[in-house]
Amino acid sequence: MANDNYTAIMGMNLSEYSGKWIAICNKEIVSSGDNVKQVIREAKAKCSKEVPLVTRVPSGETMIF
Amino acid sequence: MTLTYKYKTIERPELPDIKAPSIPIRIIAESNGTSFDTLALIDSGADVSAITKDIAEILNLNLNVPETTSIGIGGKVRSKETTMNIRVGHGSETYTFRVPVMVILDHIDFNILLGRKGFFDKFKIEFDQDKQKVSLKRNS
Repeated sequence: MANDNYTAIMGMNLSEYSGKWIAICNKEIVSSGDNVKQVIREAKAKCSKEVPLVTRVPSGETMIF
Repeated sequence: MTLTYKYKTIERPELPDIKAPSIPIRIIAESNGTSFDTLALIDSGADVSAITKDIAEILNLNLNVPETTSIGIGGKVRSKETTMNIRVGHGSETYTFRVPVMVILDHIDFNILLGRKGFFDKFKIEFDQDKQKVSLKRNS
C-alpha cells in the first residue's frame, strides 16, 4: 500500500474539497468531484500504474453512523 | 506488533475541526475491477462494513444477491450483502482478507465504513480519543 499518499493526505487541509471525492497519486490531488466513478477514471488516466488513494472528504456536519 | 494510526482531522468551515478514527486500506478489486487505497472509518457501531453502490461497481463486486434493508441513524436504506477483499497494514504487518460488506443501493455518499463482522474479530482494536489514535493488533 502506498504510504506516501497516506502520509501526504494526513498533512493536507482538505476544507476546499468538503463533500467531494478526491484522488491522490504521487502525493498530489489529481482529481476531485461529486462522482466517485469519474474521479477514479481521471485518476487512472493520470496515475499510470500507481494505485491511487481515493476518499470522500466529509462535508462538515456532525457524523453519526 | 501493533498498527497505529492517528485520527484524521476533518476541517469544518464553520465548526471546530474534529478528528475521526480512519485507517488506510487497500480495496482489492475483483477481476476487471479497479483496486485503490482509501481511508476507511472504523465503526464499532456498525454490524457490518458498508460501501456505496458506485464503489461496489468500480470494484466489480458480486451484486447478484437478494436485496435487503439496512437501518441506520437516518432510517432505512436498500442494500445488498456481498464480500470484498481488503488489505490492512504495511511491510511485515500486512494482512489481506475478505470481509462481508453491505452495499447501500440508495444514493448516499460516504467513505467506507469498517464494521464489526469479519473485521473486529481479526484485531484487538483500541480507540484512544485522548491521544487521537487508533491501534490494531492482529489476533493470533
